[in-house]
Amino acid sequence: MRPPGGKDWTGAVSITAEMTGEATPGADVELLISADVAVFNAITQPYAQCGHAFDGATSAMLTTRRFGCMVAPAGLSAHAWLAAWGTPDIGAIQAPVEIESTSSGWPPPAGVDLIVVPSPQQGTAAFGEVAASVASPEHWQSGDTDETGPTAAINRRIELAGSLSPTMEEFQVKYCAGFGLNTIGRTPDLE
Amino acid sequence: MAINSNTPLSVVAEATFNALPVADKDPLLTILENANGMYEAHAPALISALYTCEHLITGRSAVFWIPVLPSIDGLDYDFSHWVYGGAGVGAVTITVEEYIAGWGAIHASGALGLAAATWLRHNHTTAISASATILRVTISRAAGSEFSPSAILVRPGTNAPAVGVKASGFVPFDDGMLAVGTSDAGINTEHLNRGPQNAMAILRDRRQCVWSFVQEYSQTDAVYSTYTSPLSDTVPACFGQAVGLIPFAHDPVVTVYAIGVVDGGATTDLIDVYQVGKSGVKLDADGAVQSASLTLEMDASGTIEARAKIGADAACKAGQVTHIAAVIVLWRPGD
Repeated sequence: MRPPGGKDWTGAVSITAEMTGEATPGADVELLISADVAVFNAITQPYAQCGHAFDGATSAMLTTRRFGCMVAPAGLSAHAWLAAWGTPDIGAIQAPVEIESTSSGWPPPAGVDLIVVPSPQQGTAAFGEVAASVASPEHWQSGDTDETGPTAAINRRIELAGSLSPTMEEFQVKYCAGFGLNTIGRTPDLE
Repeated sequence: MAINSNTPLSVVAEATFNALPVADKDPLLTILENANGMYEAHAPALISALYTCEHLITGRSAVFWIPVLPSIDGLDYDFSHWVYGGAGVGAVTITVEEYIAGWGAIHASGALGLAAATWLRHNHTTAISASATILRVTISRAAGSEFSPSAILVRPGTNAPAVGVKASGFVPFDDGMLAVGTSDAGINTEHLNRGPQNAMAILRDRRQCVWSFVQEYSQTDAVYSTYTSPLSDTVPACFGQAVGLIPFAHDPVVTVYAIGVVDGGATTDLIDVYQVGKSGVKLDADGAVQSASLTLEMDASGTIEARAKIGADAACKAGQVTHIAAVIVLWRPGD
């Protein structure tokens, strides 16, 4: 069984570190395993995901957005971290965020594959207004229901390709001002 | 003899190691060609941004300046641009320039068709020079037709490893080094070390985008400035917040790159990029790329959900206006 890699790389990457310094190392399987795991983990480690800050919720702006996120090998499902300010009505509840993606339902309109994320009570300021020390946007996650065959548009996990190669997941998202893709489901065994 | 790459990844079964009596040609060959495959295919986003800009632009171009720190190997990058077309059927053009000592064009799309009320995704593969510090993206549409820039994604393209040591430290593996027979190949220290060292060289060379905010460089055309929210240098305006993720990290060090613009006067420390509730860095809004390191304290640290809520503010001096043209936060494994 070979689950994908996942580690804290901080201070743990050296391009000169050696598995062994011996000129004639013994036929040690542990050395081979170490060499394989180092490469395998580097390839299958999930990528950093961008927190996209933008105004896609103010009615005068482009509120339907298309963009792409890169997903490392073995990514199967994800949440989205969303953000919204108080616009168009400060303190009011905004329209639900709608998410469509290559693996979840594409091209738009995705019908029952549409992911609909209810918006919480909004922040106390309009986009671009006062500093976060005075007022803040709301940040929340899309749903955790792992449903790959929905019969209605619900708040569920975003599906990903689960490929052994990196893939670009294309998105169409409506009504938010922040988006970060959080890969949470991965192929449990890559053998 | 050939430099072969495993794309996609070739997974060595766990049982292989259980059964292996001695070090042999395989699985070492697979490990080394997986590392070659990583050079060819490893593609975290270098730039990923959703533009904040005027909706349904007509009669002018939209111009974005985006800080960049590309691979030292001068890799090919895959670009994707998303543009929404409003009324009209005029052609769209997209150009990309890189800044080194001056601006140099690296891509010109030619005329791209776009029907009214539809989307355009324009893809191209373009090398970015190792010493480039800014990408300038210009999007235009024929007079009388509307357009709304939505997003850009830049990630390493397909870069088959060619012979020769790379500036990143990557050394392509040639199968001739293990091709003498199938069971009697010589195994030496280099064979064991090369795969991991190549993988680490790739990780260190390819920055990963953790956070972004981009609007037009021109203060006249930009949507948000401190004028939009006329405050002061003690109560700045917030230009955006979002959650960026670095899976499994605890306290990674990221590098913040920002371009801020003022309409005059002092520029010092007007841009503030911060982790919400934690520390931040202040950068000058002098129209050029400024950078600083920032240590993040991740929420859900050490897990696949490790994340940081990041924001960008700008202050202004009395009687003057500041706007943020771009903030890009980059990270590389090891930092």
